[in-house]
Amino acid sequence: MSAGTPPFDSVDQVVTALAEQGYLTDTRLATTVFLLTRLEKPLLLEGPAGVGKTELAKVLAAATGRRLLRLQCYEGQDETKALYEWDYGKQLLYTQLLRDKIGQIVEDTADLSEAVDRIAAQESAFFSERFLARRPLLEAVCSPEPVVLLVDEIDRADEALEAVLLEMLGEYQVSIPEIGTFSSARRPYVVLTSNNTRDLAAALKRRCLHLFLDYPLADRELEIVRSKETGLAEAAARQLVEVVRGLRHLDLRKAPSISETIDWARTLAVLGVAELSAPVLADTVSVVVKYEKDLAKALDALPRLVDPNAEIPDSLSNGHGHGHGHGHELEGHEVRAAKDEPGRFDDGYYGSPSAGRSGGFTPKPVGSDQGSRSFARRRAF
Amino acid sequence: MQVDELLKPFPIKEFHPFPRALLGPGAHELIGPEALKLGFKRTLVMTSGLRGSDIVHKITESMKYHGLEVVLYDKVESNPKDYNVMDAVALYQENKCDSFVSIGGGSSHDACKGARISVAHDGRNVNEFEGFNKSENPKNPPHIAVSTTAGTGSETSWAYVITDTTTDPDNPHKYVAFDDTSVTTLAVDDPVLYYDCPIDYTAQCGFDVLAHASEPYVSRLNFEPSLGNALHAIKLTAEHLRQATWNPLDLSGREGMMYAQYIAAQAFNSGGLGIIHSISHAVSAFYDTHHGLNNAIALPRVWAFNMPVAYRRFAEIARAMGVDTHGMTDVRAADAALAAAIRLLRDVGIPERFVDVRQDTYSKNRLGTGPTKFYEKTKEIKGGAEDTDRITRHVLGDACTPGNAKECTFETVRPVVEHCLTGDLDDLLS
Repeated sequence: MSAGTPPFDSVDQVVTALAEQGYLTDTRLATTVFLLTRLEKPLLLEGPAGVGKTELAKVLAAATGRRLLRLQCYEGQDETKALYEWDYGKQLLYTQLLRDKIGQIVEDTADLSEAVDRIAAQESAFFSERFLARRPLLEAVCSPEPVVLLVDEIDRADEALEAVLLEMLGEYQVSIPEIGTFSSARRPYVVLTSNNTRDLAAALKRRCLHLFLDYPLADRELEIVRSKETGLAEAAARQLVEVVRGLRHLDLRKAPSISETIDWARTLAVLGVAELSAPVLADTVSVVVKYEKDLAKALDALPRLVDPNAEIPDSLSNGHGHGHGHGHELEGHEVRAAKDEPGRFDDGYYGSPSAGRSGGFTPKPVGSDQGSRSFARRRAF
Repeated sequence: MQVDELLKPFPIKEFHPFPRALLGPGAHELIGPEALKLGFKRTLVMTSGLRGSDIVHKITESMKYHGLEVVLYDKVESNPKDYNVMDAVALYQENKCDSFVSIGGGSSHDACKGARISVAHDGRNVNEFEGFNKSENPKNPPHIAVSTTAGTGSETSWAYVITDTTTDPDNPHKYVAFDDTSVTTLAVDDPVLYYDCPIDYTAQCGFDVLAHASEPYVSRLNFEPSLGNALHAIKLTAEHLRQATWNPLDLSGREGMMYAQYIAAQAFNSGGLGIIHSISHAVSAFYDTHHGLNNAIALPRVWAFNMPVAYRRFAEIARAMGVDTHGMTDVRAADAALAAAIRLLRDVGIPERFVDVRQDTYSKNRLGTGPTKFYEKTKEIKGGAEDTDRITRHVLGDACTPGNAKECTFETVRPVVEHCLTGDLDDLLS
């Protein structure tokens, strides 16, 4: 069992300690963190990107005064990048430098096999901790001071690496065949995060405390935005949080995260926006929407999100029939002008590039001089 | 998800089959018997009057001879206006008609198609059906369309074009509505009726055919079933248009153009159009000029604009137009197609720029009489920056624009429009 007193006395203390680091939690998350420190079991956090999974590990390290070790997972990663590897270069260098010494050892041997035996007896000199390059997992086990180990985006790693992790997560030990097993003196707090891009092995889940972290409730998200001191006025921030929550319901390929809400709030604050309107949100929505298809959906939904009863300006519509009214909604010239908008026929236009797909018509960007270039080119023949 | 990716960028195409058609000299004599077969009793005949010819008189008399009651609406204007359609609808309802016959070019047929759809929806304003398949009632009254110009293709297509004068009278708008239910019940194409078509109209309608055929041939919407029709229509036009224009009483030229216009419509019906038509719609929306004339002026410019994305297709067009492309690269051959089109345009005597189009006592170089306030203010095509911008904006909103071979933006299309208004065709020749 680990030495040292646990850092938190109660769940409330977890809430306070994390809040001091600028991380607002609800009791569910705080309880899990409290249990993590008491049971010393790894914590597996699952949930969409941008809800504060990685951030939790960081603030936990700060709140407990532990060093943060981070293993960022990726496809094709093997154990040499996660556990340890032999520092071959260093071994070779030592061999070169100690050539004379090695020569002395084998000087008086009668034949080759005796020399090999003599060298083999010295093997431990070369497979010792001295030549061991520690990667984050081994480092976490061996570190003399207590650490928080963050295994980030475990779902991106191959299953083989997951298996490698099992020993570490279950026993807090790492076995190195040439040397033996390392066990940690003070158990690290381990936080694993997953974006749910694939299912994790049951064996892994069994070894961990498990928490599904979702987008926070509106109030808490607002509190988070407030706590980041974005500079956005209270009323606007409140409205923004609602808009973002609306966007999350749109079935986007990548829903806006909390950190993106904060970025958006900062963006709007920089622009000096006091009151949210559909046009200004449309101009800045790319802060939170990262895919072209998503953008079209978002632009379409924004006016309604800002004001459910809004008259939707045609400039913001994607041609879903706004502007097809006949005089009773808009002035004649507005209706007429709306009919000159390119792409208004595209939604459902037979055989059109985007027919049958949502998102509407997004012509490829063309430089303002392309038309005159390709057209005038003929005169230059 | 995967299917979605696979279908990108061109999803499932739609093929629009044609109504039954009677083609050939003398076909118009079958209108009466065919109408009876279709169950016509009291028919609204819609036409522009066909000044200087007795075609309407002959046909209505022949229908009466077969025992049909005929109500005549002969005030369809060129570039049919929404009020033409609604007047006809009122006449239809007053007289409790049960069927339509349209006689004329595209205007008569289009107005009639609009009127049918309006009638089927209890007289709702025709402008409400702008767009794609907006009509909700699949049962329109039966309609026989009789063509008197070799150009429109409207008697067989699922599209009709109406000028919207009510939404904003200061700024008229000409739109295309595509509607499967607007397809006529029977198309009658009789080259004998073309004999009376004035030669300048014949020439301009011939270029309408060339636009109907060449636009789908290079369109982004096109697909195999309509390519053959497009190419053959180009070939027929190149072979017969000069003869039809300069030797109007020669049947072979007229008949060639009849088939050309018929299969060109078949090509664009499923293969889509492009900005020749968008420009044409825009100019006639503002200035009431003849559709075929507009197409003829816009065609060489739009070909030049589209060529960089479809050299091979334009090389095929060159061959179809009778150019010997042996030993030419596709790029050279495409240029040769453009040269051939310009030569044909000059051979049949069509004005080369929109600013050259003037109002005339008769149809030659016809600038219309324009019903709108806009027209009262401007009266002539000036071709300045304001004109260019206005037309370009209208082009971008046109239903034909998304199908154009090359992607269109304000910046890319504006030079093309400007060139149509004031440019010299010789600039385009290599």
